[in-house]
Amino acid sequence: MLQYIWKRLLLLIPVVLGVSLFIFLAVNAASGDFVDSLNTDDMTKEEIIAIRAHYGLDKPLLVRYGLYMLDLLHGNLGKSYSTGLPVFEMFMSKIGNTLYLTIGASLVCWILAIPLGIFAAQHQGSILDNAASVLGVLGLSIPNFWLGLVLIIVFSQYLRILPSGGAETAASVILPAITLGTGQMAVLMRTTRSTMVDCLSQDYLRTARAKGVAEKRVINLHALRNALIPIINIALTQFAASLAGAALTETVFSWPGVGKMIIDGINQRDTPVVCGSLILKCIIISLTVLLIDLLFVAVDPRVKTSFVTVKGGKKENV
Amino acid sequence: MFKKKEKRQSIASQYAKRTKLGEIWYRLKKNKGAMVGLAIVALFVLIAIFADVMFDYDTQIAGYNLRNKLIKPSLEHPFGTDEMGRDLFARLLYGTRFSMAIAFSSVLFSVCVGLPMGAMCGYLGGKFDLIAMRLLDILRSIPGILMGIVIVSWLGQSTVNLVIAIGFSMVAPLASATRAAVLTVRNTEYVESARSIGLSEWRIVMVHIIPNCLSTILVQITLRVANAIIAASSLSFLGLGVPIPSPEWGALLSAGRAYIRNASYLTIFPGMAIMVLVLSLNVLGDGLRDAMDPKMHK
Repeated sequence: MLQYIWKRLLLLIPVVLGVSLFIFLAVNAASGDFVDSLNTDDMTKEEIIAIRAHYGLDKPLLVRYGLYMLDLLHGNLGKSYSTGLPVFEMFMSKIGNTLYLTIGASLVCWILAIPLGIFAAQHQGSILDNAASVLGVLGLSIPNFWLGLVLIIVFSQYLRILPSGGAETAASVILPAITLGTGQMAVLMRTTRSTMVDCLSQDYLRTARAKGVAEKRVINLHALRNALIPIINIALTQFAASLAGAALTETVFSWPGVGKMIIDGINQRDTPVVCGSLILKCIIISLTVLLIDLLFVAVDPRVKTSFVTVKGGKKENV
Repeated sequence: MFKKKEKRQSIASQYAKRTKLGEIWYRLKKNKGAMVGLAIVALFVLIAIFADVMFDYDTQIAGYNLRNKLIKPSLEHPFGTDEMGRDLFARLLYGTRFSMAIAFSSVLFSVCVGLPMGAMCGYLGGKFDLIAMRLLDILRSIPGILMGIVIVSWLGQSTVNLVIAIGFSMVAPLASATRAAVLTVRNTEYVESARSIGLSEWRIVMVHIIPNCLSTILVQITLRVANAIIAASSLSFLGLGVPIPSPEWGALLSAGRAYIRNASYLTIFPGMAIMVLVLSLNVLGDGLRDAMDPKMHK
């Protein structure tokens, strides 16, 4: 088990290296650097060269990547070009907002998706099941940022009951959370429905019914508990993905989170912010995926046998 | 006696005639939702092809007339006019061409790269598979939209670069889907028997493996086109899409956003166009999947 965790953690290293190389080269090879995005009309050529030298932009690309990775090994993600603050601090100051939004969105998503999916599975082929599946496809097909804009038009322009952006009041989180939650809801609902459908046709449910277990108990205890594993898997993966930054939703609502910070960083050619945040995001996603996998080992004995050493020394799926 | 035999043969040949694709089409036809989706997609494709017959690009689409600016939806301008006095309905219809072309070419890009890669991983296995999969893991750990943004800002803003950015961000999911499909087919008995009678590797891959993966790949492609339309409009919305004044749907939405307070229809209609097309593609994709794998349909 411990060996498995180590192996997974070690596998993280090439992923982080690869991501950082890809991002670093892409962001830095872009036409025009940070100095170009400044207003340099009243500066002399020497001053511009001096600014480039100050930020180390005059060195060759690969040298800069080497220096960057050397700093990264010391836990230093560099400082933002535009604000001068350390990237790690900036990331940490924004991740709270993103966490807040993610929790809100996940609540919206889970409260709607899981009961709806279970209901649809129980009443297959009914009008409500069809309505739920239409809702599911609709949720997948609506562009997220557009839904956000429509919500702004309806709730903050016509009804004037909710703020259209920012994070000043507690009510600000409602619209972005609904926007982000709807897209996730569709996926989760479809998963819930299909796993419940599978579970409902299992023999052990017939056995439970045959021995006289109440229908409610059959659903809640026998079917749902077995169906929960893929459901939790999708739900937590979505949580990790939006925690790592829901860039579009945050941009539409000017929500001061990590996703918006990255988009602003790209527009300002603020390389350290973009690189650093993306690397931290990847680490968050990979660690969460690892945590989910470990969670399943604890919950589901079937998973455990698939990678814990079997007699004879043969390991699978590690 | 002779007639009976002939009749039996004709029935047999009828069944034999219905190829795997014919079988799929037969089942797809029964799915009303998918057929509606197919009809709408076909309509959009026709609009995209004949856009320049219906409208003159220079005068009606790109040319402006400030006297007509920001007119609310009316009979003459069903979707209203934008800040330059251009008819939004005409621009939306013309924009079908841009959005569809971008979506289809980016999917084509990802198919050209992802399909051979996935197929090789699945078929060859071993070290090649291991290394390629690790590379794909790296690509997959960067969220699609951010990868698109990074690539567009790297290559510069243009329609071709937008296609590359979206196509590239879809390579990893497509390759792993293909790999999974190839893996299941590779271990089937008919491939094993093909190998045992001494067919060449090339023939096994081309005749026995790829045709049997096509159904999975076709579904993937339909759903990816839907994704690509949303991705393209998202990037355009962030100002990283096609250059103005091309009436790409995301660009229309992004331009309309500035007038959200007094002309919200400029935001609403382009989004609805995106939604209708993506919805049709998704329904069609789901229908295809059910038609190809009747076991899935419950």
